[in-house]
Amino acid sequence: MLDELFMNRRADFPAKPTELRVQRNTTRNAALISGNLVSNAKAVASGVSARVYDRGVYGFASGADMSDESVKKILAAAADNAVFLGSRAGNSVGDLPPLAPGNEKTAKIDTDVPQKLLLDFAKELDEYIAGKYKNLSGRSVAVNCLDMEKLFMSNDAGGPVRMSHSLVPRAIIGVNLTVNDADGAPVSLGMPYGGYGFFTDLFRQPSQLYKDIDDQFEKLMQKAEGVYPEAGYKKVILGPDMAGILAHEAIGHTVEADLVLGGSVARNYMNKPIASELVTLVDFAHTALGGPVPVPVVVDDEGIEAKDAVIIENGILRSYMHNRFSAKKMGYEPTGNARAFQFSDEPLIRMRNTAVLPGKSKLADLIASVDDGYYLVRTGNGQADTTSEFMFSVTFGYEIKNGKLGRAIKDTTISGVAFDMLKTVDMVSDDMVWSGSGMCGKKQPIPTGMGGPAIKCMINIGGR
Amino acid sequence: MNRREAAEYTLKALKKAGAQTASCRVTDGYTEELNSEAGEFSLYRTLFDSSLSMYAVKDGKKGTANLNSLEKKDIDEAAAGCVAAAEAAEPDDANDTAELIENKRFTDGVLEADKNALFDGVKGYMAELKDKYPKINLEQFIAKYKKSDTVFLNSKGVDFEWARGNYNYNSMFSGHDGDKSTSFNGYSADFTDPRQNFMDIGNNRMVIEDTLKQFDPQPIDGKFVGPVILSPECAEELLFYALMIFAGEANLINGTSIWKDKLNTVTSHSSLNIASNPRDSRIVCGERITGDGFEAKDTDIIKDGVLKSFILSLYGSKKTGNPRSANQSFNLIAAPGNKSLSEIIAGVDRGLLINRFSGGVPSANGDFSGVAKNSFAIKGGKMAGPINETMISGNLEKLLQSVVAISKETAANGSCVLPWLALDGVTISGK
Repeated sequence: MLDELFMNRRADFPAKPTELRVQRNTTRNAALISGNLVSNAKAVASGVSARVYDRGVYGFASGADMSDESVKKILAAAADNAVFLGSRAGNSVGDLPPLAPGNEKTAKIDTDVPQKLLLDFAKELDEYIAGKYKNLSGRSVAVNCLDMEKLFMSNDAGGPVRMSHSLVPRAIIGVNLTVNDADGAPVSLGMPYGGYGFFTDLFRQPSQLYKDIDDQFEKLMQKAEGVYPEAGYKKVILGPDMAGILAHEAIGHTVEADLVLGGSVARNYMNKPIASELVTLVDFAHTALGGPVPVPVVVDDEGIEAKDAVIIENGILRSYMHNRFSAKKMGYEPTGNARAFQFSDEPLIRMRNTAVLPGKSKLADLIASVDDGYYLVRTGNGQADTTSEFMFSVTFGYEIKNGKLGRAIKDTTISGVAFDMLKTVDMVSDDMVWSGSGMCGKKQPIPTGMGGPAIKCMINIGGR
Repeated sequence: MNRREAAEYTLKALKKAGAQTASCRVTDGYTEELNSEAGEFSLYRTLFDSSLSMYAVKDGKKGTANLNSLEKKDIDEAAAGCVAAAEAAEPDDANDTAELIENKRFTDGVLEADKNALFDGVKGYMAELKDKYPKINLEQFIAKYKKSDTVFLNSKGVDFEWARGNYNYNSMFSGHDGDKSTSFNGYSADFTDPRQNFMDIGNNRMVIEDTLKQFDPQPIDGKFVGPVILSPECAEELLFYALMIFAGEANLINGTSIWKDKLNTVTSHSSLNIASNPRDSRIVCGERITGDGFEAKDTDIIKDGVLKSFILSLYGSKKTGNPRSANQSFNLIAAPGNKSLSEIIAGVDRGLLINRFSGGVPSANGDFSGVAKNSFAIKGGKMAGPINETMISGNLEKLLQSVVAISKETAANGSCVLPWLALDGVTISGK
C-alpha cells in the first residue's frame, strides 16, 4: 500500500531533489515502581514528511494525515519552504552526491505485542525480585519497546528513483534496585536488558533474566558497602560498556561532519595521530566483525547505502561521518549516517554502531598491570564537547590495588579530553561487547549501538 | 473530525469499551522552524500534527494509549487497546482523573506565526554575531514558532480548552581564535515578540561574552572543598535534579526519596525560596492543565528553607498520602537575594563560577559529580581565568543547606526565573 502511495505521488514531486518518507513509530511500555503500575501505554506516531533541496538549503514539511491530498500539500509546502529560504539565504554548495537506484525491502513483520504480555512479564519479574530480595528499599521494572518502520523514496531531481523500506525493532527491560547503606542512604544500581529485536524474540520467559538480576543484586550489595573513589587523575580500566560510550560520546560526536563544520576540534586532525596505535574505532552500518549490530542501517534516510565509517585506524583519524550535504561541502563520499527519529524529523548526521575494536591483551592482564587505580564497569549517561572533553557517569566499578580487584565504588563521574586521553591507552583487551540500549540526543533522540573491549588509560575521576 | 469531536468521540469509545473512568487530551500542533548550521541557513520546516492521549480505568485498573490520528477507526482501535491494557493490569485505588472544579478556556501568547519576522530575527542575530563577536562560531541555531490547540475532557465533566503560541530559539556556539577554541556553549529562550533583538533575550549576550573569556582554560591545581557560584542556567539544571530526586513522584512512590517524610519541615537553607509558577508573567505559555486534568496553579516548593510541596500527580498523591502539587511544570522561580553578583564573587576566597554542569544523574541520596564547563576559577575574591578538566562533586541535599549568597540579579529565559546561587561544600578537583 505504501509503495502505491509513493508511486502515485511521484508526479507531484517538484523538479528539484525531493525525498518523501512515511514513518510509523510504535512504542509500548509497562513500568512498575515497587510493585505499583505507573505506566501501561501504547503509542503510535505515524505520518509523512517531504524534503526538497534548492540553492544549497532544504525545505521540509510533515503531517500526520497520509491521504493523497495531504501528501500533495506536504510536498508543496516543502517546496515552498525551500524557495522561501533558498531565495533569501541560498549558498553555492551546488548539487548533492547522486543516489544509486535501488529498492531495499525489509520483510514486513506483524510487530504488535499484546500489552498483557508485557504487563505479565514485568509483574512476574517484579514478584521474583520482591520475593527473593527482602532488604531492597526500592525497585522498578520498566519494559520499553520501540519499532521504527520507514518507507523512503527520492526522485533525485528527476533521475533514478531510490526507494527503501526498513523496520528496526528494539525491546529493553530496565531493572533498577535500591538498598539503604549502613548510614541509611539509598544506593541504586540500574541495568538494561535486551536491545535489537522484538520483545517476543528477545524475552521468552522472565526466568531467563533471573541470573542477571541475581548478579545485579550482588553488585548492588557490593556497591552499598563500597567506597567513594579518590578524586584525581588515575590509571583506570574502562570496561566494554565504558569503552562504548567513550567511542560514542567523546570521539563519535566530534567527527559528525555537521559538528566538524561547526568547529569541532576534529577538523584540525584529519590523517593525524589522535590516539595510541592500539586504538581503532569504527561506526558500523549493519554488520560488524562478522556478526550483527544493535542498530542495523542498510540505507539511510537520504537514500544513501550505509557503509562503515572507519574513524580511527591504528591511532590515526581517517574519516568523519557524513550526510549528502556535508560530503559535498567537504569533498568526501557520504557514509550513510543521515537518520531521523520521527516522521516529522529531518535526517541528521547520527552515529549507528560505534565501537572501539578489540586488541590482543587479556582483561585479567589489564587488571594485573594496575597497582593503584579503578576498573570502571557500568555507565549511566555521558556528554561530550566539540573540544572532545567528555564526561561519563560511572554507576558500578571496583578499586584495583596491587593488580587485584578491591572494593566496589559508589556512583561517580569520569572526565577527560578524548584526543589527549586516547594517547594514554596502553592495553586493549581481546573481547568485545555491544550495548543496544543507547539513546543519543542531538535535536532529536535516536537509538544507537555502542561497544568495545576493555581499555587501560589515564583518566580524571570524580569522588571525594 | 476536529479535535473537540475527536475528544468527545474518544470518551464515548472508552466508555463503550468498558471504561468507568476516562480522560483524553487532543492537541493540534503547528510549527514553523528555521535552522542554521555552521553559521549558514540550512533548513526551513513546517510541521502539522495532531496528538490524542487517552486514559481509561476499568475496575480500578488503568491503561493509556497515544496516537496521532483523529480518525474514528483509529480511535476505536486505540480505545479498545487502552481498555484491554487496563483489563490486563492490577487494580489500584489510586488510579483516577480530576474532579470537576470549574471548566475554562485559556488563550496564551501569540496565535499567528510571523515567519518573515522569525527569519529577520535569526538573520539579525547571525549578523550581530559576525559583526560584534567575530570569534564566536555559531555551530547551530534553531528558531521556531510553535502553536498548539488542546481540548481536555474527562468522564467527570472536566472540559478545558487551551490555545497557545510562542517563539523559541536554541543557540549553540563556541569561541575560535586561530587554533584555539572554547568548549561549546549555548542558550535557549521562549518568547512572544519575534521583532525584538534575539541577542538581548534573557542572559544570551552575557553567555556569549563569557564564552569569549574561555580561551586557554587551565585545570584547577589539586583538590579542595570550597564554594561555587552557579549561573542561573546551571542552577536550573541542578535544582531540577534535586527536586526530581527528592520531591519527584517516582522516588516518592518507590520510597527512596530522602525527603519523603520532610514535607513542611526544614530541608534547605532559610534564605532559599523556590516556587514553581507557570502563571508568572515572566513565564511564556506556562502550564494551564495538569496531566491529570486539573487547572495548573502556582505553588511554593521551598519557602524560607521549608519544603512546602512535593511534585505529585493525583496518582502520586493518592499513592503516597501527600497533597497533589498545584502544577507539574518545573517553571522554577527563585527569589533574588540582596547582593550583586560582583559582591558575591568578591566574597569567595577560593572557588568556582560554574556556568554549565556536565554530569551524571545524581544518586538517590543526592550525591553528584561532573565536570564544570564554561566555568571560571575565583581566587581572592576575583575572577582568575577559565578552567577545564575540573570536576566537582558533592551532595545536592547538603548543597541546598549551604547557601552562601543569592544574587540580586535574575535571568528569565521564558521557562524559569533564577538568580546566581553561591553554595558551599563542593569538592573541586583538577587533573
